[in-house]
Amino acid sequence: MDSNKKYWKGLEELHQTPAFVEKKGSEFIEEIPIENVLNEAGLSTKTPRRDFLKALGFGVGAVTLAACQRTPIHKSVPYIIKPEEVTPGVANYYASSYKGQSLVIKTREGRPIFVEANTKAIFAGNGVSPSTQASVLDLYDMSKLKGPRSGDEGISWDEVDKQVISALNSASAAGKQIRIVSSTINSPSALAAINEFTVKYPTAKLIVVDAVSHSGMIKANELSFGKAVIPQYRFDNADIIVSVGADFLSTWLDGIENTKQYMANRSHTSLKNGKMSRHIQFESGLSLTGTNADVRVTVKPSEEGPLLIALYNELTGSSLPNALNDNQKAVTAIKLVAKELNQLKGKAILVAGSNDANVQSLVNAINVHLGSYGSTIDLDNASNQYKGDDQAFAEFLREANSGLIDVAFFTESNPIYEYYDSKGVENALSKIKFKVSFADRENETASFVNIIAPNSNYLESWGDSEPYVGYYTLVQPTINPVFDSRQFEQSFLIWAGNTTSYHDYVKAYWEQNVLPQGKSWNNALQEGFQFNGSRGGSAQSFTSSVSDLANLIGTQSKAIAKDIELQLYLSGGIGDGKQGNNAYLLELPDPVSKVTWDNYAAIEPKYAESLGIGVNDLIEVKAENGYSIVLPVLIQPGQAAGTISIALGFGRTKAGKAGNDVGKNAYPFVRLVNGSLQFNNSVTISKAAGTYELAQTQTHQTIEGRNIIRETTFANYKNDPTHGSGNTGEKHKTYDLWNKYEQPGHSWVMAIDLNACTGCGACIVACSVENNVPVVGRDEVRRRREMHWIRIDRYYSFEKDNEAVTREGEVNNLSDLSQVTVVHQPMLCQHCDHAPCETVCPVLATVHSSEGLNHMAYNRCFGTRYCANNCPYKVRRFNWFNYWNDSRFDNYLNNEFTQLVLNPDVTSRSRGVMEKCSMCIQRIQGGKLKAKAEKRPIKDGDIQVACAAACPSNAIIFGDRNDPESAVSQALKNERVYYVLEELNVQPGVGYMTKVRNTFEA
Amino acid sequence: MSTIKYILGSFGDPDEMMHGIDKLQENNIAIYDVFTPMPIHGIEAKLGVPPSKLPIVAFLCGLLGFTLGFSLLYYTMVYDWPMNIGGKPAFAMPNFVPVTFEVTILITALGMVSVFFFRNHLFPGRAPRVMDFRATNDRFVIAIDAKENTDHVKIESLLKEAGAIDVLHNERKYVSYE
Amino acid sequence: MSSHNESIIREPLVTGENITYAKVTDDILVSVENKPNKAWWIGFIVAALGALLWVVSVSYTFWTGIGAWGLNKTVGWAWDITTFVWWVGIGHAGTLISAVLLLFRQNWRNSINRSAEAMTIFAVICAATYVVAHMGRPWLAYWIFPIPNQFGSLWVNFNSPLVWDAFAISTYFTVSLVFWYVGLLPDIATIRDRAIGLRRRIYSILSFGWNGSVKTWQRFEIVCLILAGIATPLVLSVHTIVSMDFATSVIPGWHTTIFPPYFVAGAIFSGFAMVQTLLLVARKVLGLENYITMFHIESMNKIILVTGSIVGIAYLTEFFIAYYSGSEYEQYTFLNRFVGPYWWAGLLMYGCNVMMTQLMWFKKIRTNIALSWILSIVVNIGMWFERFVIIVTSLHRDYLPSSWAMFYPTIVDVGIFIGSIGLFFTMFLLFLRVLPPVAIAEVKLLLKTQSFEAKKKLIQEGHQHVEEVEYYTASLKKYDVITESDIKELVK
Repeated sequence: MDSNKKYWKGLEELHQTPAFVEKKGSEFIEEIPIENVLNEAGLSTKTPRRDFLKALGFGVGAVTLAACQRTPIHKSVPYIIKPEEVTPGVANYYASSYKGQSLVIKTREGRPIFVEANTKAIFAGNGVSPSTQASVLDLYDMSKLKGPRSGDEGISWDEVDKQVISALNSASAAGKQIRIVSSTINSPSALAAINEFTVKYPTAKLIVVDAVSHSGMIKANELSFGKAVIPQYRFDNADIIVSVGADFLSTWLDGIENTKQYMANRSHTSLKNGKMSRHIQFESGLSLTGTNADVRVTVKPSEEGPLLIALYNELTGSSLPNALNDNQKAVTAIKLVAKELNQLKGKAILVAGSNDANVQSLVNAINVHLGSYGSTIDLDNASNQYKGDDQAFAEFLREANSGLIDVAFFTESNPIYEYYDSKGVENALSKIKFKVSFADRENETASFVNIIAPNSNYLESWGDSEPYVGYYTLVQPTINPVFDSRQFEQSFLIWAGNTTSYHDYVKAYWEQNVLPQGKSWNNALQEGFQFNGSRGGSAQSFTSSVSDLANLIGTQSKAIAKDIELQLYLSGGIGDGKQGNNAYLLELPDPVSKVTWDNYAAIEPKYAESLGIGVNDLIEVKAENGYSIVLPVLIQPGQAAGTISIALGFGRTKAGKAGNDVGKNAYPFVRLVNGSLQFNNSVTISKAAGTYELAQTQTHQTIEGRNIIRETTFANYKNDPTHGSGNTGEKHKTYDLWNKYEQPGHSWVMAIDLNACTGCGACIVACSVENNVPVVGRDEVRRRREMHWIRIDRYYSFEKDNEAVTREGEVNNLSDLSQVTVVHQPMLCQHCDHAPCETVCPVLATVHSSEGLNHMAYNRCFGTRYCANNCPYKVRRFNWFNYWNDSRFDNYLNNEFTQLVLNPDVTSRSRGVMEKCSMCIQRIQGGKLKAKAEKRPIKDGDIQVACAAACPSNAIIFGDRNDPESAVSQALKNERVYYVLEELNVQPGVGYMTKVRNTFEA
Repeated sequence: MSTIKYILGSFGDPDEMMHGIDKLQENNIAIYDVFTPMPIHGIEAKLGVPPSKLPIVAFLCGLLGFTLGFSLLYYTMVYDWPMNIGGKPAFAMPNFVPVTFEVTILITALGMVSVFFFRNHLFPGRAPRVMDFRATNDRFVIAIDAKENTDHVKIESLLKEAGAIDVLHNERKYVSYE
Repeated sequence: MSSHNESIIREPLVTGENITYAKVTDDILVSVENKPNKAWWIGFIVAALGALLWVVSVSYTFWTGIGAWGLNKTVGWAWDITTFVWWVGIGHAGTLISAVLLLFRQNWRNSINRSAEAMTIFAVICAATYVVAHMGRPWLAYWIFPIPNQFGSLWVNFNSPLVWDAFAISTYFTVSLVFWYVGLLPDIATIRDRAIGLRRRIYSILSFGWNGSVKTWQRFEIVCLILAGIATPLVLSVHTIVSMDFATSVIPGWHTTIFPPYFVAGAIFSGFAMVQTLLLVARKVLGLENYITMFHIESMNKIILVTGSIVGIAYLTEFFIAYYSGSEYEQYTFLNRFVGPYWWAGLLMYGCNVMMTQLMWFKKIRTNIALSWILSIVVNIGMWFERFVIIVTSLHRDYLPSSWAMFYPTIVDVGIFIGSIGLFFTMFLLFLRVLPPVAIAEVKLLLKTQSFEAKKKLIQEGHQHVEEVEYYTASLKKYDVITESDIKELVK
């Protein structure tokens, strides 16, 4: 190599020039301009580099620290003087009732936190509706008034009384009218109180009006049988049920009681006895009841009447005019149905949702022909649940407009929102001198009155009700009035000059009129209800002329059979909108569409296609009376072509923080036709500008041919109970690599009867209330982040030459999507014995208990979300944010008052933590402790999980697998039981029973 | 008595350096050490440097790592608090393999390297025992203890013959970094 | 003995006229011993801005919660784990080059291993940031390790692949770092002895007092060899374990036994691509054409071609097994990659990784710098989408159709991804400034035998087979730094 030379940095080094010698000390020969940077100018520039770095460093540090927030500590103060009946940590239960349903209210440390159906009750003892379940939240609603108000400033109750009484006196002195506008009041004591009031002020009169009235039915019964009542229906006595547009399992009359009766002939217990009723549904929009029907035929609203005429003709062989003839599917169906009905006289029932007296009269005629009265319909022990009289209210408006009325009271009635002609109501009200509302908040009507005298929540009140003749339920308070409210009955008493407290008043009333000999008030309070009536009823005969009806019906149906027919319905959750500010209900997915936080225009897919309307489109719906709203479109299979359906109860403007401006108000589409409100109309639609994404909890509608849903027909079931369940023949043998873990004590499992589940969603609300599951709001649901621990999967399938079509691709090729069959499948944590989630959790935050439960330790979880990814059922929910107190999710939990609704037995989860169904571990623990305290083993039924407690059809059976006698082990022995995704061998603990459909044998 | 401590033969080529080593050894001149900018293969043999025992160290560290790793898993999963995790047995052998393996590797690597550093006195901030700056660049330097080998002239001539570019007579052992 | 000569037909690993030990040192230390040039500053500022974006995005996520990302109840992992796996994969090349190629005595590794290892370390750092950032409660990240705590017997779940991951990644990072730094010691010493003043102080500390004495070199070589020996199974184990995050799950599209080899191949694939991306630029900017020669580039391209093809085979196998398994869920998932809503991602994955890399069969493309660079970028994109497809399209439509959902990234997702790239380049550019981008000592090893000079000498000495010489000269044509005249000179 050639490196045998010295290396000079240049000739300088060789000659050692002085310049070089001087410089060679420094690393770089030429100067480095450090001074230029570090001199005054350099440092005094706007932000020197160092400062920037400092700032950056601090910023990062600060943010990191701030992000490391620990679980906040809340101060709690023990009782100074402990109320004797309260033991901290132990729940007290009180019998009460809501809307006539007898309930048991669970309270903790004096706070009502959960409502359950009173299982001993005669009526609706199985479960509750979503709205009842959620009603506990209304008590803690921040949007309620803190006290009586006159205009904008708060006033004392004395002041209220002074003003009201003076107004009343001046009115009666002037001989002017006094009106009490109220939704149905079936509380005998309240009526008595109002009666006292009307005695004191003779010009006073009670006007009963319901937002969604059944006055047409009442009128029909008056015409047909001279009884202006709504009968009691007995679906449990019916082998065949025909419903024409009546959503009787959900919002039509007493949905809960109806469900209970309906399931008596359809649930697994009845199937065991080889018995199952057949249910045929004719309707335009796909209702919850329609999804449960064995046979469902779509008809336009205008066709409902003609269809009944046709049915009458078929049944009686007569030939009334205007019978339905153009809807072929329906016509053929009617022929079949008529045959069946005639065979099953006395065991059949026909119900119609229409509020048209003529239609209902024809229904009466048919029911008489079928001999339903006395067996499946009980006219003698009437229902008092809907006594609203549309005519009376119209009359009230007329009187008001003509200045006859000086004083008006509004109890549980909000006509400016609920009445189709809210402008008219406003005008009428402006003519009334003195208006009082008992609304608990400044709602649409209340903001028009002189005085708001806030009514107490039912959980703060005394009271009673008589939902069915002779069936009395009590309302007793479970907490002192939180705000300065007074129940309206008390107010009327006071204004009537009666100073007795309403408690004494109710007590006195019951002791005089309700309680039988030897039964004390306290017994009644414990039981919560008193049944003095009878059930059964007598047969009826139909006299009036059916041909006249046929003509009237004909003209009626022509009135709306114009452009696009609009059907107005109630959604199972929000109902008529009275609970419009209830976050639980707003986030409860619609049973059919799975839409939350909005109402929408449901339209049949192919029909929408033909109109050039698609998903996320907005359409303007315009009625003849000029009212129009812009609504998002929901592509809804099973909707009758040529119709759209819109839910009432949305579009509140003064409901409160959560409920304001959710959806659009559809009440103005309602029509008042010869004295009764009609919930259908003829509208035109046009595509509106812009798009809108509905917040749906399920966006894929079919099972893609997977065997997660297993179903059969009743005919096949009778031959082979295991049919369709995959239990036929010998099952594939499964092997276990590992020794099974013993579950010596209990083994908590669940059985779910797909035949019984109607999809109502009461379980979802119950679970949310029980387990403090946060409501996350529309945007988060849009991002598919709803937190519900239990959901109800709803799958559509379609028929094509007797083959079920369930694959998205194939479905899109079908020509007709109005004929849809639906399955509801409650889906919750399956508590797998070989849980995939447990294996993958790095920190043992989720492990298996010796009782077969899949535990979740929130405090240990640091949120890798691996468990959720690895869950085949996708039932795990992640706290993406601090939902329970983050101003961006201010649905209800973001204030200390509403947080009182939280169940103290369940921690509220912090941000970044996974959560899921715990099978109400707190209830299991509570049950064990109770049994232990009573020194006895746990009995089956001691422990009831929230969803099962709420279920109105007993579709969910929970219990101990190790107890051979328990209901659940019995149920799991059923031949229909299968396990979802059992082929994965994760060994789920929740068994499902096949869906059985009692279709016509083709 | 001269103050020369060390004589450095600075070569520009490894082969020439090796040649130099031969020459010195033929004349029984003990070589103190050789400093090169890169490893010279075969030089250990020439200088009679025994083979390194680091492989044994590495193996022992490996054993230690394996034991530590496995016992950690066994203690936590099986002995201390066995749990029902997805129905798997507490002693789920296959699941123990990855972590045991990783720990083994980790301990091996760290153990061996720290022993290497320790034996060669390598640690942050240690003053480098360097005799010629260019020994880390382009020079291959043979260092001879001038006290033990007194015939400096001969040494220099030998080195020169071998092709040393220059021969330094250092009065201090190591160059100063101050 | 270094004096015996390598066969003439081997292509030179170091080129350039009158190359000497001193020249090697000077050339390589250009970037370290001089003030940065414009190119560096531009690159650095851009990268630093990226890193800043990362800081902002991550801070925002920590402040508000993971909800700031586009994840949902069905898709619990998306860009976070996709990019995590991407970085880990990239991080495989370094150790592979320095360890596996060392064991295989592939001397051409000597001039690329240093920067490749540096890249490894930075890539693993980027990956590690994701491990923490994707947690719901990142301030508890240390719970992943079995630390004795106040809860007594509260340990971790050694059944969970995530725990294996934590151990694998941290071990891999530590070992790579040690390997890298040990290798750096002699070079740092070189810088030390050429520098003065403060720089000399600093490098003197960093050099651990290295003096190239015989014993040091001897142990040094043993240590490197053994480290290479253990790093080889380690590097394979790391991506094997990463793949187990998916392979041990029950999700169709994840639950696949082929994943370990498939992921490892993919990792090497993407790693080499990233090395290409970096070195093709570095050699130009730092003037290292004589050390990172066309031979290196082509060799790496060959490896990319091979691993790319292995990945392709893995894809085919996956599809066949999905079909052959008869599991409807598995079949749907794989069909969904083509016809599902994420078809475009599938297209990018298969297109970039399998189709494009097949171009490497052509020597023209293999030895074309511009094309190699573009292809290396293509591979990086393809491999990112491979992970995206595996993670998101498998999750978003798994067992129960009721839960099927789409994933849409938020601005924060994007910010963190781009930011992490910025972070990576910031670290790499700083590395180029303070540490030698090429292993000086190891290159010096090649000088006497495998340099263009040495071979030139041999030829000029004569007594070489003529055809061998011809073969040799022919092979020189692809070198971009060797001119026609040089070659003529050889044969004349």
